[in-house]
Amino acid sequence: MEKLIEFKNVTLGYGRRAVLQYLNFSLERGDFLGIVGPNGAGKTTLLRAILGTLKPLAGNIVYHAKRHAVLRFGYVPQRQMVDEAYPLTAFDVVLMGRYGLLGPFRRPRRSDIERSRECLAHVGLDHLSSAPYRDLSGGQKQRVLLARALVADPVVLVLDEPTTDLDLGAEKAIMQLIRHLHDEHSLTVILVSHTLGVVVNYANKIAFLDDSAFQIQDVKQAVTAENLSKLYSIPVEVAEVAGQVVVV
Amino acid sequence: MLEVFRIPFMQHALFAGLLISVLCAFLAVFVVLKRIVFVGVALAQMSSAGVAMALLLGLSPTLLSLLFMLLGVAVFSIRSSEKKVPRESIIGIAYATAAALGILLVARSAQGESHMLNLLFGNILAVTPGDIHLMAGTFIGVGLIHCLFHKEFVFSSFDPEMAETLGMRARIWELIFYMTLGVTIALAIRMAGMLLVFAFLVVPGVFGLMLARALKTAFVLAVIAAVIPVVLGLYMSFVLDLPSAATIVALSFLLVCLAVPMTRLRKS
Repeated sequence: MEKLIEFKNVTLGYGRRAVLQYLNFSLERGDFLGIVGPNGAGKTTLLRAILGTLKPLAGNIVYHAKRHAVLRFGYVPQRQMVDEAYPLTAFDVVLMGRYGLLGPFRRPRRSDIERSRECLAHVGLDHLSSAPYRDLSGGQKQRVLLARALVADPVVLVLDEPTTDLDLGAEKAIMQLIRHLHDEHSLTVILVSHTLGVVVNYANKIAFLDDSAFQIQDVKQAVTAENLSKLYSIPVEVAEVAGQVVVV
Repeated sequence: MLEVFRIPFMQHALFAGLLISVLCAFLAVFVVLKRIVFVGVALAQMSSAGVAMALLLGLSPTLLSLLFMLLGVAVFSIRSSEKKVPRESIIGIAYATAAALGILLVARSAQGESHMLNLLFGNILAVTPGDIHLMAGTFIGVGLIHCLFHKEFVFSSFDPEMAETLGMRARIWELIFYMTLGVTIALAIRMAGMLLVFAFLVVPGVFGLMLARALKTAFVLAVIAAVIPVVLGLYMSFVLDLPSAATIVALSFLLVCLAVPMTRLRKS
């Protein structure tokens, strides 16, 4: 498999305070990696390092892009991080995803506008294109942010807690859409969540952010009652109900 | 009304008022959205302290006012962890210190206090053609930067994390934005006074954002909400013999009051 990102003995943190230490792993093209950990474990810190917006305190992060190309990311931040005071329509928000490709001085072209419309249609929101972003429901906002990530034609899609505060129906719809994007569009996906149930049913690889060494494992091998009981220090049962893995 | 604006000093006041109000109103939309209303007043106070120091030392007031403003820009554009000292506390300290410094420098000045205060805090009825040319240059410069880099300013203030991810240098754009804001304040304050500049940096932005459903409309409405009080306020202050800055600010407030029922009407 083709390696896309490689962490070599990386330490991450802020100032002099290390949050995550000695990270050694690689992400391969086509992976659907779920990163699970409790609040404050450093999930967002790890994501920022992967995205290149946080420089490591030590070690190297290597991006394997094709010659003369930059490894392009599509990033879906936590919905609560997006400022709703701005009077922007769903379309305006999606179009911003093209700004990085345009560079300074250049205004969005017809092709950028068309691509933004396509992406809104792709997440099922073409009918809400001119609706104010702040008036949309939680699930709709998440779809808009997903469309904004897709409009940059990314190689890697990175999602930070995409299902937080969503009801069960919206959570399932968003996760199925992400799964569809991974399967049908050959996107490499990194999904961070504090909800194990979300990750185990959609990702094919998983990594736990806890006190033990950070290690990427196959979901089926990692998500066992024995492993999870050890990880959370409480008795855990793993069962399959209607084709879905349930962790109790 | 036209008769009033045929008088030379009223004409100068109108030109200066329009240039300052349009530029400040445009920036006001960002100021309100970025929740940096008090950065405006703190930058204004720092720039005033620069003028006071220049007058005491016999240096160029414009140069020192810009230097002090740049110092403020450097401090306020740093995005540090807010856990220990929230940014608004830093703004408060900068405001109080700059105000105290200005008063101390004025107290030590050999020139008359009222003359100094006039130089520090401006009077729109006393602007000269030279002031108008300087403000017109600032208007063109700042306006051009915002026209060319509008999408960068909007994106890096709306979602800086995403902007960085897409390769935009959000912190650099933040710094450039503060520079344009600082230069505008430093120059406008000496012509229009602190009260008027501060009001222009808040009230039209609030008006525009209350009524607009799209960002572009917010900018247009903000500019309208700044121009109307300037024209009406200058006219009324002349006819009724009222202080011009206070009249303009009072009219701006009335416009915002009008926006409240309009917003409710639209929602219903």
